[in-house]
Amino acid sequence: MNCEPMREQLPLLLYGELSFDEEEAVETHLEGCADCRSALERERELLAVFDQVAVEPSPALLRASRESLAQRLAMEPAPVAVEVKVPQPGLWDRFIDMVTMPMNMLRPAGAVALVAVGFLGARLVPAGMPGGLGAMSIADVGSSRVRSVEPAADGTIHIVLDETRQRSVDGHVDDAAIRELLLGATKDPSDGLRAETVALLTKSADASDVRNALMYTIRNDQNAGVRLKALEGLKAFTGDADVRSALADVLSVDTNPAMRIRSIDLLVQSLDKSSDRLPADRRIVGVFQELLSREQDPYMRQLCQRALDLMNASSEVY
Amino acid sequence: MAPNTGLNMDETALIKAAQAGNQDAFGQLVRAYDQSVLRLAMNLLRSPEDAQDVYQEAFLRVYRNLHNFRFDCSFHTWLYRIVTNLCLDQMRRRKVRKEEPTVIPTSDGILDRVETVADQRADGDPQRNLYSGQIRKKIKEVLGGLTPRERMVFEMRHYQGLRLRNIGEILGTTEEAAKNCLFRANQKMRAALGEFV
Repeated sequence: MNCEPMREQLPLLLYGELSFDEEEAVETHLEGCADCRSALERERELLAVFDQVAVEPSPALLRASRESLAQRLAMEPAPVAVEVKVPQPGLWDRFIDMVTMPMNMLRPAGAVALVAVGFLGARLVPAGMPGGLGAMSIADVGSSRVRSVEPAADGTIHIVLDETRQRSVDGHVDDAAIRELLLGATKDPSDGLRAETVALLTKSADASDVRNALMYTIRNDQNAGVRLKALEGLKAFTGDADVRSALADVLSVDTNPAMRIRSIDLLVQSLDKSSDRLPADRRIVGVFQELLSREQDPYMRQLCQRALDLMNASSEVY
Repeated sequence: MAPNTGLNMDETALIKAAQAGNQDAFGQLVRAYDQSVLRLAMNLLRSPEDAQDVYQEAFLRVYRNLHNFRFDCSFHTWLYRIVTNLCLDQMRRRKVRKEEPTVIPTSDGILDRVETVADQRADGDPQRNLYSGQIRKKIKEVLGGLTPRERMVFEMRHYQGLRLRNIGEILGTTEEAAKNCLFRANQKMRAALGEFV
């Protein structure tokens, strides 16, 4: 059998970009070709290498970009409007406020987490306070926004500034505050941040709160790459009934073939290690049986059958 | 993943409001998409200055031309078409200048994009350091060796999670052409990194 055309399809298979018929042809071939199954694994590892070098723009860059855009737009003539409306005074002020609103800025990196938390709007800096205006030169206030001005009796001017500030925190993943921020970041809208955070947390999956976050991710994250990372973090914990339950959920509902195949691998691995879990794993037996009854993919069917054999379970759903 | 819109109103209504001159609505549109725009530009150009330029120019163009937007495609596709054109121009200029920066400032300082591989893989083991150093070199080679279009398709498919059909639409080509581009990128990556995985 000619493997070359099938090999060419493997990355598209992993990206879920094959048509039903193409996927069917590739998976049928995979069932009978150990070399191509190995090639699929290598392909997955190759793509995983690139997962590790994804970069998320820093919060500082995003903030600077927003501010710079707001300033630039303020100089723009009003665009041609579909309906003519009289511009209201202060709209750009409101726009500037809006683009510098607090945002979810959890950006961990490296072995310690460096987390920037959003803006502290309308922050009053009392004169004379350490780090306040009294300690700043005029150059330091370049990015500040004047809230109010007031002449003082001595002829000086009292200025109240709104400032946007980032805050960084450093610490180890075991620190409660860091841990809490990281767990929150696993639900950030940014794919890159979630991937980076989940990758960090996989090293601490012996803690139940981290495992819970990873289980939430494999069940709910919309990005298959992030889900796969979380799944890898759970591979040493297949002895945990909750983890097996999460894997069973993935098997039941995840549309990504790589996720389903890996979940089967992990469930089988848990069965290989122990033979005394049958009562607790009744649900998993059911999931495998159900999957076997509806799964069209021969390779997946083969994996399910093997798992059921290991559990001494029937292939049929009664 | 769909961008986090956080919108107070339906996107169509928001676009129509922005077209009618409602600048709050325009601000909401910017916030709905600007993180993913900046991420795409940053990953492709790997220079914060260039990424910020693309970000600003893209949203300025949206601002100036929003009244011409007729909902023939999604707003996301239209915006990404602008962004990818700007990035492609920049990457082509770079190819001519033979520049390929890899240094990126992040929230915790300057980060070499490919150094992160070493950080995550090395664990202080000399042998693994050597191994990850080799991978690092190869990743640099392979990213530098992709054409701007191959980079674009790979970035949008792999990192932004866009479907090839959507990528084709953004780049003004067919799904098949985008697929071929991804295939060529993958071949080059496999040729460069195959021995390491």
